[in-house]
Amino acid sequence: MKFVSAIFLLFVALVCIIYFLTPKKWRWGVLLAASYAFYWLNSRYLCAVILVMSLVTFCVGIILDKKSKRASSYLKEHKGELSAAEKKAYKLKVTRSKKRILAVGILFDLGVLLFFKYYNFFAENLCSILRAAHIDAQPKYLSLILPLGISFYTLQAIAYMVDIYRGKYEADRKFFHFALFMSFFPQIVQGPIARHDKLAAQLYEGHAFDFKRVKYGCQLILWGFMKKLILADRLGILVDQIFDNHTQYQGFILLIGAMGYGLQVYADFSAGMDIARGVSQILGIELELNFKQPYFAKSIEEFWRRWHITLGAWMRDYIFYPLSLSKAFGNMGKRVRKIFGNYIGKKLPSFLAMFIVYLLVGFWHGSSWKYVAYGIWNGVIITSGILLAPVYAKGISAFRIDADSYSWRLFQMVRTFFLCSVGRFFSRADSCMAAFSMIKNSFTKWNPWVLFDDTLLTLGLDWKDMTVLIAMILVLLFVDIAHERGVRIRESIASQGFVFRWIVYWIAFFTVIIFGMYGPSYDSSSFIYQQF
Amino acid sequence: MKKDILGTTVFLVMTCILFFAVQNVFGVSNSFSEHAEMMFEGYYDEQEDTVDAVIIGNSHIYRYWQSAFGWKEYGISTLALSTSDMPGSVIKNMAIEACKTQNPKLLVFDATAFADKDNVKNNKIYMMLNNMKLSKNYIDTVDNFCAYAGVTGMEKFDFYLPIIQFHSRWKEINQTDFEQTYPSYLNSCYMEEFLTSTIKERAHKATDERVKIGKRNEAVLRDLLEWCKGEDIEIQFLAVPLLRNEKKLGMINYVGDIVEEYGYEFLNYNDADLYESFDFDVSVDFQDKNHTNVNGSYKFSKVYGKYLVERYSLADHRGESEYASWDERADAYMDIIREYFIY
Amino acid sequence: MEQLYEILEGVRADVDFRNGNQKLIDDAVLDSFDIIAIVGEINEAFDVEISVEELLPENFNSPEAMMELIKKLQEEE
Repeated sequence: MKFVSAIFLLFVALVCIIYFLTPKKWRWGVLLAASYAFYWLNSRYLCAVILVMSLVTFCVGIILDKKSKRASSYLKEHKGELSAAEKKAYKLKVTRSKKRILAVGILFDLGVLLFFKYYNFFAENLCSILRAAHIDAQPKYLSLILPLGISFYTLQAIAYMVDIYRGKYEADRKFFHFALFMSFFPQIVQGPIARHDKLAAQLYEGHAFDFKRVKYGCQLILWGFMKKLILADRLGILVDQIFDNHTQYQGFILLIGAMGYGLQVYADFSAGMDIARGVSQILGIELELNFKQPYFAKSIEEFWRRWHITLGAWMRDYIFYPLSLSKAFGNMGKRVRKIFGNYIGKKLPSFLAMFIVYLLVGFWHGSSWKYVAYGIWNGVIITSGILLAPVYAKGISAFRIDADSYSWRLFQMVRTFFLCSVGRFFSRADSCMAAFSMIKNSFTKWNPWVLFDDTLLTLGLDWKDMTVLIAMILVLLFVDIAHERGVRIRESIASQGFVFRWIVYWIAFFTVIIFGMYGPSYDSSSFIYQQF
Repeated sequence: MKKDILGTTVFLVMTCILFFAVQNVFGVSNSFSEHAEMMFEGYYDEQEDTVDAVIIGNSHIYRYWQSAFGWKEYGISTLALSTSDMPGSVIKNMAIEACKTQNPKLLVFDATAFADKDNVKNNKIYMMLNNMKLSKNYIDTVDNFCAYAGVTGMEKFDFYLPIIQFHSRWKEINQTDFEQTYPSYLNSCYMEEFLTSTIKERAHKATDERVKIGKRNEAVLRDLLEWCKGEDIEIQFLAVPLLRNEKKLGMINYVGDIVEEYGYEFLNYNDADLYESFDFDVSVDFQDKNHTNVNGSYKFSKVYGKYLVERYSLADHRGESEYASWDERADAYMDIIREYFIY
Repeated sequence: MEQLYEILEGVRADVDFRNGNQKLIDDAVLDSFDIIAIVGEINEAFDVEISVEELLPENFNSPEAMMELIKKLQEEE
């Protein structure tokens, strides 16, 4: 069941009706049933994977919780009896045993993810290494189907266990509650990656029907459909044409492909988020914001704080902080400081941690070296940005640039979008090598005339499609600018008279119906339209 | 709360109305679909319970039987409800649709619609779906067609809501898509090739052979016949004269056997002596091997109309006040065809 | 407290820590690099060990909150 489809809307409508007809006490049960039904419809027997992972994670949580509680009550009971050293030793012992349990939990969840997502990648690369060492090895590929959303709920499960370990909150006591937290259907497909303390309570609470919320939720869903069907899927035709036949294209066309892909992914992904948030909103549940006008970022680093925010936050809390604050990194910093001095010595541990984060982010996106290159690209850009900050500062003062002026900020945004787009070559190209050759070509071939002759209209979109596409990009830009300025669009529409409001809804609805890329006439397999 | 419910209801109702208006614009427009639109609009608009016989089927109906001729010659009130390639799988539904606004004495079904091998790729179903009023019968029509064509699951939505298929036409929308009024000539055919085309001389081949029809076709035919049992209406299955090979005509015979098995009349104008009764001049009267043109259609209507009057004693309504507009519309039709009409 | 202000200003000279009412984390004044730098300095200057568990927004939203955290950690020692 695709997210952007009529059947999904029907499914949502059905779930909402049943939800609000069920007594409040049991409403969470409706969500759990709906979530597993959704999973079953998408992945069939693979729903066993999420069930087992939920069970393991749940048990690990309970055990960690019990150990901490037992330890603190033990310390309380024996408050006067223990010496400071004994106390410390006891704490250390508890921490060690908790760590072992946590490790089991993480290794299990991560193992499942690695198996399904990366087995073939590892097998292939291991064999090529062995072959390089003159050992004959043929990779045994498995045709694995990725369980729906595994990349997302694995991170959710790990965050949950680590948070319990850190004592941030208590473990969930009810398995079915927890199973719902792991599988909540609007966010299972592509996030946002939720935290237990923010989401779980909302899921268990039975929410009353609220007209305004339902209305806002529907609007958000409609907006998601607009972005996905009018913009992303239309742009996708052009992007696919360029990337799938990249050897035929040169220079600016390739750049346009990369920029187009950046826009496409933004429209596509944020549309998915809007639909997930809209559906949840109807049910009374607020999901985390995952996008904050990313293309208005003034640096790549800021971009990653606006783009896929919940993944960035996860990486920060569970990879970046622990790595940077670890003893090993601290010691390394001290050693480096002796050699390179204070500035680099202080920065190096966090740089290294950040580099690892971006490698993981890249690798998380998919099992291919191109994603690793994607991660490295982002890491390099950010590192150089920070290291070169003093140089930039000098340049700014030399050219008498006002760093707060609009023109400078605009320049920064354009620069960031451009750097991002170069990164897109890695994430969209068929392979690492293809990406490198495309980047090389797009910067060495000078052919700006393709923007003016009709070349752009030979990439799968005629001028009518192109017009719709550009109009929709402008609408998206307008909406993003409004959001950036703090305008609450739905609120301001709601404050208008009903005639205006309805017309806005109708325009939105019918542009999707008419200009959306859906239905058999857009499938190659369609047979019905062909006769006419 | 009350205000919200009211507002939402009004909004949703208006959205639906707009939706179907838009869907209407996006329906395919060509001479076939324009003709189909006239068929349904004309049928729905006819004053209730004034039509004595309804003739249902594919182009083998509307290119042969013209109600305008029937009215002119015999004063009988008949209407065709037929669209290009109407599949046998939905003919039952058309009968149900026909009986919603009219209370006919006689229902005539096109036997040729079943005389074929199974064809699941019939796409002209839109001729009907774009023009039928929404009702349970509309849904049933889709269901029956999809069951026949093996369309299941989500793909059925493409048929319930044709805009899913046709919205991509937005690039080719022009004035004709917005024009809604079609001439009402008592559902008589006025398509250009019907008026102007002729073929070379070609022999009619009568046969006594029986050629098996497709399994699904036989099933939907039997389903229709079962339905007829429950209706208190005279039923006839009609096969118009075709200039086709023995195989096709053999299939028509096969259909006839099944119809007669249920005790209904099967009138096959491909039988040699019945065919002779028209006195066709093929090179003048036929548009192609499947269809008469306006002249052949006149010959057919004269013979068949006479048969209907005699066998089913359909009344002559000429001069009755309720039927005043029938004269006007028949005359309008005669005006349209006059310059192509030689008899 | 003065020592803490000096650390903060050393990391981010462009932010007014003394009089600003902004929430340093929730309003995204400090990014994660700043946090790591600040934690490193605090650990050294106050001889405490801020661990990952303490890296919560509420502990770093204001200089006062940071001071409280430092005191709490010092007491625990």
